[in-house]
Amino acid sequence: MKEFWNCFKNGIIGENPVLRLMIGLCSVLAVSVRLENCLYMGAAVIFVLTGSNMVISAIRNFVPNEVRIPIFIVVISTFTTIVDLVMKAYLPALSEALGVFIPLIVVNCIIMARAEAFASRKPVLLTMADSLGMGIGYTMVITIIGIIRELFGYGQFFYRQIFPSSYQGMMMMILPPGAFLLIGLCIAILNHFYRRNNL
Amino acid sequence: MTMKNTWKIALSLTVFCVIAAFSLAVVNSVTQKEIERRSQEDLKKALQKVAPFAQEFQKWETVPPVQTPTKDFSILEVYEALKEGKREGLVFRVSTTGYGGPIILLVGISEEGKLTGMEVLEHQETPGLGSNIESDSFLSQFLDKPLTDPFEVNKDIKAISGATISTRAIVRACQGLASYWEEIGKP
Repeated sequence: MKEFWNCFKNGIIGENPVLRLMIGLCSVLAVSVRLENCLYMGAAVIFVLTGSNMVISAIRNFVPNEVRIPIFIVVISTFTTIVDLVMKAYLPALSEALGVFIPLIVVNCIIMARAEAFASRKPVLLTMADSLGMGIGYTMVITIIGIIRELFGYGQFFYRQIFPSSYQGMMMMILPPGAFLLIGLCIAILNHFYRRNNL
Repeated sequence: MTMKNTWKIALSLTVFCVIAAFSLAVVNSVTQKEIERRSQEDLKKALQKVAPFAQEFQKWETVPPVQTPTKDFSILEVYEALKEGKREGLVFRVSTTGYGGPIILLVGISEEGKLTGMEVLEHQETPGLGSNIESDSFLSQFLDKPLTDPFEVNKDIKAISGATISTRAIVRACQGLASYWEEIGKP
């Protein structure tokens, strides 16, 4: 149980995928303009990451070392496509909202990286904990960045006007440079915290 | 690497791919009908939205081909918008190349050559930037414009900030339709 919890926590604090491992940055930059997008993207990543990595963990003993990466890619893309098709057929509203994020998930390197670093070596339940932790860690960071970008870029919070309507949106926040700077700031703050506590 | 090992690798890769292909085939065959039905339904709703004056729609089978086809714009289907059995306009399903791939649009045009509505059916534009082509505030700019309009970005069409390519794609579709309309002699 303790090990389970440690694996879970690791993805959120110790090895946060965006701020510490620096993976999956592409989708963070692209999607985090609106808070709504961030929550959808986070949900999709958590789901696909957990699902495909549990499958990978379950089959890990049958996968020859030499071709593990192609096989992981096959598993991940199959899983994502199945999710996409099922959503399209039975959950059209959700599919409408998540549809544009599905192709972003297939190329999200968090999934590949966790498959390689964790799922291919550890049992299914621990993999589940790790994937959930990583997914939630990713969602937390992208959500924070999304809130700041939406607030300064559009003067809104969840489509609700916060700043007076005379506020001219900050163009830089809507475009990728804003996200780059914010990610940098987040990393700096986190590093400062780590150094101060000698972690 | 021994010969035996090579066979083992090839075999396991094959097995995994076969399983993946098989499960995809199963899921696809189960969901295909439902997806098809839904897209038909969505199409009907969208048709009604871009040509609100019409009561029913009929696929126009004898569409004159585009004389100067371009890579970035094509007309996929044309529907006749009928009111009391009389044709009041046309609805075009067109494809135009955006930032993330093809954008499929539905454009309603009345008999006198005015845009009566536009809907984005499919696109893969960047969420939060290019995906704003779906927003009403963007699409409403095109409403009631005659096809003789120049359709120029930042002159009569306000571009979406951070998504110039997506904006241009939509504008290109309008220009393409305008020249096609001219070509077939205002049907």
